Amino acid sequence: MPTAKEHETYARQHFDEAEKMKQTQKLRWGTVAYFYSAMHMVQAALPSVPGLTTAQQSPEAHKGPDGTSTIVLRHITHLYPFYDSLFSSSYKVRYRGGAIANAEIERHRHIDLPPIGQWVCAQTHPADCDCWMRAM
Amino acid sequence: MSSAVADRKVAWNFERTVTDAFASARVAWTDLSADESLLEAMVVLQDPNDWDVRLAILQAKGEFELANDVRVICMFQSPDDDGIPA
Repeated sequence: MPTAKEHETYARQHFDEAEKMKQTQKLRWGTVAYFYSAMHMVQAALPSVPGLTTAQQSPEAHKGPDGTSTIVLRHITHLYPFYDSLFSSSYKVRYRGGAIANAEIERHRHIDLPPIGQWVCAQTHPADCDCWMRAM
Repeated sequence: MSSAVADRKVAWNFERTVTDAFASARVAWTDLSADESLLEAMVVLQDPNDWDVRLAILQAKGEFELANDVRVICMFQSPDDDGIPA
């Protein structure tokens, strides 16, 4: 399983890819990359969340009792609407071929991602950290 | 309770959860998985840019999931969404 540091690296890679896709008008798939950035950010911080089992600290699925979405719903509840907003649009793009408006993608970038990044930084980095997640 | 009835009940309950609380939203369609663990729902928002409503619906959806032991994937579209990818 990836380490927390590796999850952070993957999260940054997905975020950078999403930003590039916006530049090249591959907007819908940018939404998917933003979601996976959020997922890896959350997974980087799960070992710091009290009360999780070993399996829940390293999820291998979205759904089910040990899935990332379920863990966010039950244990990081204040982030759930933001995380699930990204998950829902990513699912819509991947499985339902739905339209994603440009304004919607910008909302995912500027409303959904920042609280997730700032929480992950607060959980895992020093208080004076100014990393890309905190600055998001 | 037959599977078909269970399908309708969880879908109906979710539709009521959305439409009773949010006048600007309606459920266009729902689809329950064969094992009844996953409900897909397409919610039409009068104003797709009303992010407060969208996040409030997702919050309500989370409470619905915990209460009903079912995962719901709630997608959103605007009233004039033709389903053609942007």
